[in-house]
Amino acid sequence: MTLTDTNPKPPAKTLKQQLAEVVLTPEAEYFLNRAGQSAQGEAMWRHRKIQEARELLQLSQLAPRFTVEGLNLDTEFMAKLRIRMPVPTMPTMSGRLTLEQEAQFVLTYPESAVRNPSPGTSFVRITKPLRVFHPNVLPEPPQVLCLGTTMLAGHPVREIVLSVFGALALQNVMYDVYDSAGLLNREAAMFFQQSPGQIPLTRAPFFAIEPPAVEGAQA
Amino acid sequence: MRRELTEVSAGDVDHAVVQAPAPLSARLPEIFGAPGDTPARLANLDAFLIGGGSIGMNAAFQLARLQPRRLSVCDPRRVKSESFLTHPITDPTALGRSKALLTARICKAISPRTRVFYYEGAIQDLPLDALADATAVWLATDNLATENYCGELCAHLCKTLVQGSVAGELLISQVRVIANEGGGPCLACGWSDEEWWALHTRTVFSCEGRAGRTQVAPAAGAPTMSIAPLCAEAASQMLLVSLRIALGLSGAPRDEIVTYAGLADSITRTKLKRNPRCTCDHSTWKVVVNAKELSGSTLRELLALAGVSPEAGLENVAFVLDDYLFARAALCGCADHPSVGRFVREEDDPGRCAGCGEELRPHPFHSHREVPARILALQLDRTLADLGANAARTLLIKDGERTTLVRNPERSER
Repeated sequence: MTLTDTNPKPPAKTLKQQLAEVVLTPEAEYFLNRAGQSAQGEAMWRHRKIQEARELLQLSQLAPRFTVEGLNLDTEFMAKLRIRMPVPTMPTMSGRLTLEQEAQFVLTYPESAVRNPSPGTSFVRITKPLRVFHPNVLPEPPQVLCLGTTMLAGHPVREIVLSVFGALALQNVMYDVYDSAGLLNREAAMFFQQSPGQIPLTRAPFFAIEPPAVEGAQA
Repeated sequence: MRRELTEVSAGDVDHAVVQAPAPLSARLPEIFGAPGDTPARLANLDAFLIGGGSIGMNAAFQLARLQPRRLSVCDPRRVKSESFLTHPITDPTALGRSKALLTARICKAISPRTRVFYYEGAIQDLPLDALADATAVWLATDNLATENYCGELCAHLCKTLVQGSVAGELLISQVRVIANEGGGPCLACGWSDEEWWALHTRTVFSCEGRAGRTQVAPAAGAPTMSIAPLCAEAASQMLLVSLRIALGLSGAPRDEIVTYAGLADSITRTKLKRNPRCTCDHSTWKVVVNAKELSGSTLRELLALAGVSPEAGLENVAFVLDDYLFARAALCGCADHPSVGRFVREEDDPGRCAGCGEELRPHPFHSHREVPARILALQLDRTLADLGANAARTLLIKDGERTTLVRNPERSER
């Protein structure tokens, strides 16, 4: 844009603004209402849970790869989610990386996270596939995913979902074996340090449809 | 995973224990305005000290000389070479040792009659009732997240909180006294914008040793820059203020900051008020001691202690049982999730699925730390032990805006 430009482009909409324009389908609205009816807690917390759930459902209507499979707003905010994306699992004996095509995970958001900073390990547990092989995923159940040393207070759930995608796809990399921040699987960190050509696992953005699967990498 | 306080016995002490300690009365003055039962009040003090650093260690040693009934110290850190610059440590072999354990042992040596406990870790790891018996809670930490946590917990438990701090560059020592008598401020109500900013931007959690831990305590913040006499001044102030409160002396600070400005040799007192913008939870809990071990009680009995009648509905009732999860279903390799329906802890042996052979873990979507009571509506007449909670110590029952902490009849210590 120049100073003499008489038709400036409007600033790009934030994700929150884009989501606000999404009208939920009747099925999604019904799903949300049912979950919201059992929400407990103070009024502000109940409202927050319902709003976060609404944004997740709106996000699923914007992003073909993302699905909300379950919501539980009783006490903590809990969501069972699925993202179609490559997920690294244990390499074969020959050192070839195995990629599953979908991540199923549970996102838990306690009330304390609204007011206080939280560890990056507080929120996400990967339920499928088992044996995820990733620098920031605990190599044993409950397969905690670390999103960084600290998550700021009140971090929106929609941003956590985007962070999950970026972390699992290794678009956001935390694999320095000499820096424990975010590192939960040292072996996986060393593997990807030695195979930088495999990162990221996908270049497709979150809102795009995932291209066909790629071949596994040689260690 | 919740941890426990450990008691220091006389046999654990490195220093020579004073075999026949003099009674306090040999040196205790008749403090003007103090009640007639001053010796008994002092002998009955139960102080919980969070932070065994330059201020906390000083305060602990001074408190031990009052021969209180009980003294507990909690600190995750170890002595470093820099600690010798501000801490009252005289033994060079203390380098690398736990501050909590070191402080506790020296306190035991000073006052053998005092029961002394320590925990080498963060206060956030301890059970909710760890502070429940304390006469007062002393806070001497430079970790804002810990301050925030302690401030809220003391507000819930209606515990007087005395915090000591220093601003080394201005030779200021300060004591904040939060009475927590309901309706008043919490510790964070007096925080400046800079402190809130620091809490939200500088709190860093350590990922080391994450495996197997449910809760990761925040890493310590930047060390406080100060000098030994100023830290000792803050500790002495904490003790004197606490003494005045314990003895009911008139004019003792309540919901106030007492500031000593070393550059001007002045002392000022500033009232603290509830800050309507403070985001902390200021609710007070009712604390109830159960007549028997929680594990031997049914949920119906425990809910009755909190004044909850299941017949009136459980839609707004939830509870937190120690660090247990209530697992409705397990996660393994099977497509169908095996049903569980019991309380489990993360460190419990998960066992293996008979079908797929994978480890059985609580399914994160079908497990609750804060359990909606309605999902146990059909289990109210089973004991907690029947439901898998054999070692329960505390049960937090939330019923709308009322919260009740039910605890075991005796605090269990090793």
